[in-house]
Amino acid sequence: MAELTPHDNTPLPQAAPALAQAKLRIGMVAAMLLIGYLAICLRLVDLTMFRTKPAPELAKAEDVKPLNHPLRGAIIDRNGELMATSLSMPSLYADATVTENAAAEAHELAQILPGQDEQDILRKLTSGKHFIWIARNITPKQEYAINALGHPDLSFQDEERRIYPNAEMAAHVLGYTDVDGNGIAGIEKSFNAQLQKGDKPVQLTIDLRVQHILHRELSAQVAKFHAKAGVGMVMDVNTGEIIAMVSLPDFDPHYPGDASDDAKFNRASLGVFEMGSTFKLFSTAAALDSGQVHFGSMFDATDPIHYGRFTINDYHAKHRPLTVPEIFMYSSNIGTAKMADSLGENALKDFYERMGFFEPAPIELPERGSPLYPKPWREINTLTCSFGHGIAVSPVHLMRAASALVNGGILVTPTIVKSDKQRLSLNPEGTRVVKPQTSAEIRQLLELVVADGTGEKAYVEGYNVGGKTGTAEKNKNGRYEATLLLSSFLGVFPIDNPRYAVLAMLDEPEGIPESHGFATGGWTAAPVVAAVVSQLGPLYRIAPDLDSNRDITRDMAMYLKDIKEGKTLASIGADR
Amino acid sequence: MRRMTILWLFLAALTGGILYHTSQQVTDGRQRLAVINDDIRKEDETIRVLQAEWSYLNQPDRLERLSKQYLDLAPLKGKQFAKLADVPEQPAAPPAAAAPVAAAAADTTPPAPDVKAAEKAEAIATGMPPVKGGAKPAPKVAKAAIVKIRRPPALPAPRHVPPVATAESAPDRSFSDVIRSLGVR
Repeated sequence: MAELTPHDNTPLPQAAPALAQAKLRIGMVAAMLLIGYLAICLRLVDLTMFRTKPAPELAKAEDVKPLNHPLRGAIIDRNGELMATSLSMPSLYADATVTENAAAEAHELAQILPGQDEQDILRKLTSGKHFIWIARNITPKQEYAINALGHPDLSFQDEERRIYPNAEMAAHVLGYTDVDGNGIAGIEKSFNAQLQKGDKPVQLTIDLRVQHILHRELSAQVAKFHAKAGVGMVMDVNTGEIIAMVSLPDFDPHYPGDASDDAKFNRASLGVFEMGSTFKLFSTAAALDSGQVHFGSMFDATDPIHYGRFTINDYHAKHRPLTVPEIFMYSSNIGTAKMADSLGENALKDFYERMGFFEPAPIELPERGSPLYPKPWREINTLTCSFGHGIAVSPVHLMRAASALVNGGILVTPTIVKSDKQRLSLNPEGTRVVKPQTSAEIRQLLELVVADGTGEKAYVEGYNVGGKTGTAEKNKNGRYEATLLLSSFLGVFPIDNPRYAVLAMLDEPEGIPESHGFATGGWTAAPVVAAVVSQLGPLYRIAPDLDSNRDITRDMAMYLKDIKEGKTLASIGADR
Repeated sequence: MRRMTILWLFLAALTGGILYHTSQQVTDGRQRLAVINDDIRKEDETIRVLQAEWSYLNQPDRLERLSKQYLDLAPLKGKQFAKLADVPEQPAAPPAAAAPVAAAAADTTPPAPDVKAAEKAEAIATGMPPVKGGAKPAPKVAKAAIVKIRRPPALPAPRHVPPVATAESAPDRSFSDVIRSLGVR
C-alpha cells in the first residue's frame, strides 16, 4: 500500500504551492485511512488467531438466549424421580370492551369449561374491562374448542403451571408456589432463585419410595388410632440426609389456598414438641459420657421426687433402686431425674446445648422451629428436662441428636438437598459430641428396649432394631393432661452398625380395643417403625441378621434384677 | 492512475459483495437459529409434559395397586435373603451324567406345599450371583431340566388372572384428566 501514497515524504515543490497543499491533504487522508485499515487488520488477526476461545461464547451470549423466560426448574428425588415440575399451559382472557353477545358467549364457554359457573363468566364478560381472566391453565383441547367459537374478544396467553405428580406425598418438603410461580414454602421457597433460573433441577435427599412407605404406614396408623396429627422421618445417621419426611395432616400443593393452616404446618421441622421419654436417650447419654455414671450405677426410684409444687412420678413404678439399663428400660422418670441431677449444676444444660437443642436445626427448609427451653435454667429444669418435659424441640432436632448418639458420637448437619455444596462446606465431618464408648452403650440400651422393654412392637425379624418409646402428656393451658398424649417411637437399625433412624410420632392418639385402650408410644408409634424398617431393609439391600444368637437381655442380665429372676416386662402399655 | 482507480473500484465492489454475502449468511443463520431454538423450546416443553406424565404413571401407590391387581409378586422380605455360603455348590458334572444330576436335583427340591422353602430356593436361584470359582457351571441340558422340575412347586396358582376387559375399565384417571382438573378452578 505504501507505493500508492508516493508523495508523503517528498518535499513541497515551490512552483505549485496550491497543488502541493492538495497533495498533502490527500496524503494525510490516505495515511489516516491506512492507519484505520491497519487497525482493522490487526484487530482481525487478534480476534481470529489469538482469541479463538471466547469468541463462540460471545456469539452465544448474543444469539442463543431463549426468547422468553425459562420454565421453573424441576425438583427431583435422590434417584432422579420427578417430584415437581412446571408445564406451559394456555390461559384464557377476554377483552370485555369488544364483547358482542355476552350471554350467548358465556353459555358456550360454560359448556367447554366444566366447573366454571356460567353466571360468573357472564359477569366477567359484561365487566367492560380491557383485560380479564376467564380461566387459567386450560387444556389444549379446550383451547382448540374455544378458538373454534371464533369470538374476537377472547385470547390466550401461555402460563406456567406447577405440577406435583405425587400430590400430597411430600407436600411439606416441597412446599408450593403462588400464582406467579414464586416459591412461598418448603424447598420451593428456599431454592426459589435456583429454580427460577430453570437450568438445573434441585435434587433432594428424599427417596420417593421410602417417602411413600412412611406416608402409607403413618397415615394408616393415624387413622387407626384417630390421632389428630402425625410426624414421620427417616434419616441416614451417618450423613444426616433425610430420606423421608412426613407431616400429617397434609395438603395438595396444587391448591395450597384450599388447605387449612393446620394442614400446611410442617410438624416435622417447624413444630416443636415436648418429646417426653425419648429425651431420656440424651440425659442418659450425658450421664454415661460424663464418666460419673456407669451401667451398674444405682439410683433410688422407691419414692416420687417432691420439688416445690412439683411431684415427679413413675408410671410403671418399681419402688426400688434401679440400675441405668433398668431406668432406661422401664423408662423411670424418677431414676432419670436423679441421674441427671447427680451430674452437677448445668451439666445437662450444657450437654443439650451441644446437641443443638437451643437453636433452630440447620436444615434447608424455611420452616425451622425455634426450640423452647427454660430461661433461666433452674435445678427443677434439670429434673424435668431429663425426661423431656419443659423443653420443646422439633423432630429434626430429635433425629439429628439421636443420630449422633448412635453413629459413634458425631453430630452431623441434617440436610434435605443432595447437591447443596454451600452446606457441605459448613461442616462436612460433623462435630464429636460423645465418646464412641458412650455411643456403643446407648446402642445397647436401645436394643434392650426393643428386646425386652417398652418397644417390643418395633421388633423386626432379621433387622435388629433398637429404639426408645416416648409418651408425653401435652401441656394444655399450663396443665399437663393425662388424656392428651404425644406418643412416639424413635428407632435405629441395624443396631450394631446403625444406618438409619426412623421416627414415628402420633399427636393425641386414642386407645382402641386392639391396644387394650392404650395410646402410648409402644402401642401406636412402634408398629409404624417396624413396618417401615421391614420394608426399608430389603429395599436398600441391607443383609438381614437371621441366624445370629444375639440376646441383649442375656448380655445385660447382670444389670437387670427382674430378668435375672426369670420375669420379663409384660406391660408395654405402661410406658410413658 | 486510471488503472489504480479501476483496481480500487473492483476491490471495493468485491469486498462489498463479500460483505453482502456474509451478512446474508448471518441473517439466514439467525433465522435458522431462531427456528431451531423455538423447536428446542417446544421439544423441551414436550419432554417436560412426558416426564410429568411418566412420573404420574409411576406414582408408588399406583404401581402398588397395579402390582397387587396384575402380578403375583410381593415385596421382598428380610428373611428371603440368603448368604452365598448357603447356596449348595453345583456339581461339576460331565454332559453324560446330566440326567442323574437333574434327577438328584429334583429329589432335593422341596415338595409343593412347602411354600416357604420354595420361596427361599427361588430367592437363591434368582437373587444371588452365580457361584464363582472351582465348580464349573452345569451343562445346558441339566440346567434346563432342573429349572423345569423346580418351576411347578415354586409358583403357586395366580391369585387373580386379569381379563383384558377389567384393564380397560380400571378406575384409573389418565394424566390429561389430572391436568384438566388442575386447570378449571
